[in-house]
Amino acid sequence: MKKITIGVTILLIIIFISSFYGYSVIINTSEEIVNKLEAVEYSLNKKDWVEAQLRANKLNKEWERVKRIWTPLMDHTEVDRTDILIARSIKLVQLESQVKSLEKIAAAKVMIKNIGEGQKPNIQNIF
Amino acid sequence: MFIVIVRTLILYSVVLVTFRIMGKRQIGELQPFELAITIMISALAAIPMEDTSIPLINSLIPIFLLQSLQIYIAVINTKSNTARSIICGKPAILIENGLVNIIKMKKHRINVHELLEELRIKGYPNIADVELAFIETNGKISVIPKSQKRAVNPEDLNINTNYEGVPHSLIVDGKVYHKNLEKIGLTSEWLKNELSNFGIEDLSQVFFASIDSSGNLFYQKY
Repeated sequence: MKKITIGVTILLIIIFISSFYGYSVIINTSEEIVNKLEAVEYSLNKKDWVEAQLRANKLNKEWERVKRIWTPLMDHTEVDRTDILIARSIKLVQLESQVKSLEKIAAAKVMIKNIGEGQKPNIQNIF
Repeated sequence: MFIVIVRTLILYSVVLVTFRIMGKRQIGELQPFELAITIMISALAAIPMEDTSIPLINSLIPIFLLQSLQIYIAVINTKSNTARSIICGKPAILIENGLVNIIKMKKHRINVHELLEELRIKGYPNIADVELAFIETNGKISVIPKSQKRAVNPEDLNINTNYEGVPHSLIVDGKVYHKNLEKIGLTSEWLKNELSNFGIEDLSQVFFASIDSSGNLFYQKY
């Protein structure tokens, strides 16, 4: 009985620590992606297409890394939707379509912010 | 991830409280917390099976958490009678000294027909033959008959009985159970000799063989 109780307590501690780690990873990575999106947005507002495309490539690399971390931790449909939005944003930047790319970047920012917000352990998210 | 843990804790408590409120009638054989665990774990395991968009971790963590809670509750139940009475409830007396306790019957939402049915199943068609009847914490009804109505046992007749242990399986599905033979101090050679007396030369021809505490060998061929 004692051994089982100790084992279960260790298991619970591992669950809580890994959950907290997973939560902090999602929050940090979502902030990183939002920062990258804002950087592209800033370049687009300046109509600096060279800088925008450079930043879009950086965004793409960062997103590929984050996607691998997010997939086992989050609803796959949410990750897929974000993936599509980011891919569209990058393509529109490459096509030098300012209005459409700004629109897609704004949508991607909202989506990623919502993902981060949705992980926070507050009353609204629990219920 | 924290949402999953908090949701699991809340859902577990909600299901537990719901089943306690629902009472013993809905529980059947399981204890309330066991039933809660069973339902939740099966649902948690079944949903991600068909919906691959749900990460497995979102279902594994609640399952591990429920399993841990179940063990904690079981440990608490063994340590504290108060906790056990809160979590599992207490047995209630439905019949006492041959009289039906109407208040308890109403409380547990059992009518006389259901009680009579249970008594008939237990072999007591006449309610007057029953000394005590309980509804146990797992929802089962146990019956203690009046001493005049219970089955006669050897002690009542002052008959001495021999020790009766559990019969040991020696051959199952043609395979000899050497461990059981060793346990009772016999060998497979002895078994071969015994069975050869009945015309069996090959032990694999035997579907089942056992020996009781009096040394009587039972066997059945394929």
